[in-house]
Amino acid sequence: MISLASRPRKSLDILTQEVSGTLVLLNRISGEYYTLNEVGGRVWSLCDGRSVAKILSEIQAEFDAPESIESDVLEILNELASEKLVLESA
Amino acid sequence: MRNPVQTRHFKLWGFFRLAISADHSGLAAALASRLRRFTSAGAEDVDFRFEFHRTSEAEQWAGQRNLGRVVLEHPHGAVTYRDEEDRMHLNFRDWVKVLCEPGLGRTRTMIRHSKVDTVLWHVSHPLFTIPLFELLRRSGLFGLHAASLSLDDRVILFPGSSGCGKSTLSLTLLRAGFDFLGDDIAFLKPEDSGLQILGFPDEINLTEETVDFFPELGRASDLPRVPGSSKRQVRPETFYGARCLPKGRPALIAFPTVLKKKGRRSRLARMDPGEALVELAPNVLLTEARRSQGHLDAIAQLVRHSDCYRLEVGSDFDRLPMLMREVLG
Repeated sequence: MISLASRPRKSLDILTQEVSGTLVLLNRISGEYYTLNEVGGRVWSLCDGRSVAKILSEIQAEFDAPESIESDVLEILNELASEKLVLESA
Repeated sequence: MRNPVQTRHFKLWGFFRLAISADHSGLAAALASRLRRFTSAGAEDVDFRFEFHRTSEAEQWAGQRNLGRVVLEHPHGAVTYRDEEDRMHLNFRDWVKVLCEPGLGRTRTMIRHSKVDTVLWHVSHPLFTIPLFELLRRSGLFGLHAASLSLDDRVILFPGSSGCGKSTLSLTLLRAGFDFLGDDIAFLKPEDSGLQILGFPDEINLTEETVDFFPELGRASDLPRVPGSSKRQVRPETFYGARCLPKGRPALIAFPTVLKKKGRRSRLARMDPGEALVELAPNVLLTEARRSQGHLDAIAQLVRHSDCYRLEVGSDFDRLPMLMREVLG
């Protein structure tokens, strides 16, 4: 379960490309395909080992989002983790 | 005793040398027919070597225990890849087994002796094309399952799997004087000056129902058919005097769907390039990481630099060339 203290990182098995706001992720091992919208894509791009708290503050600033976006960001990150698109590190 | 092996040489787009050896004359002929525009004199050095051998029921396929992860499945088998060894395996039931070693530029195919006629089309088509895609990908060419035609050197791509209307579109546009790059596969070649489409001017595979829409082709039963195929093979240059172009610049991508209901009119609708990327992503065979990413990058470059549409194909085939001319401007 991803929390504010988690430090998610992108899995190295994922291929990515972005065109006109649509980010496509391909899991090279499972063969599954995913698409993310602009916010989801930005969350994904910030998964470089920084804490979720830092990811959240970046998203809030960039999208001028309300504080309630925290639950949305955590939900996105947990979905990314459950699909093994990001790997959790404590 | 081994059957005599025949070797033929080809040169793809003037730079990739290909040698194909087969111990079955019908199979050698089917492959040569597909590659007829690339025929070349023999060469000492080849870039890619394909070997096809018939085998008895009792012979075992070497190293078949762990074939790796599945990267593509089809009704009669699968394509698997082993990351550790950089090897791709393909099978068609237990009648055909293919080992592709991209690092060595080599593909070996073994066919059960008693099943050659049943699988001849599969061996000469998908089980040849998929390893060719993988070998060419290592040299920076990225395959796409699409028909490609051209008008004034602007290429229109019709991506899609079998049955989506690619061949009907190809014939309709050829009849109207468009140039031909390929009916089923094309290759993307990223260059500093932009993306090029390399054509693969294969035969066009037609159902007998499709043949009936084009009276100039004659009776379906008079057209050749490779054993194991339910379709007839047509060479576009024979019927339409089509100009086969080796390459061109992409201008338009139209994703076709055939409207089943009679009397419906064909129509084009704009499509978001991001959506086009999602539709084309399954063309990426998920084998070696760097080339798989390169493949996805090339597809993204294609959709960024092309106008993307959905094309509903109705009963009014004759309007399609006009529609395409209008949208090309």
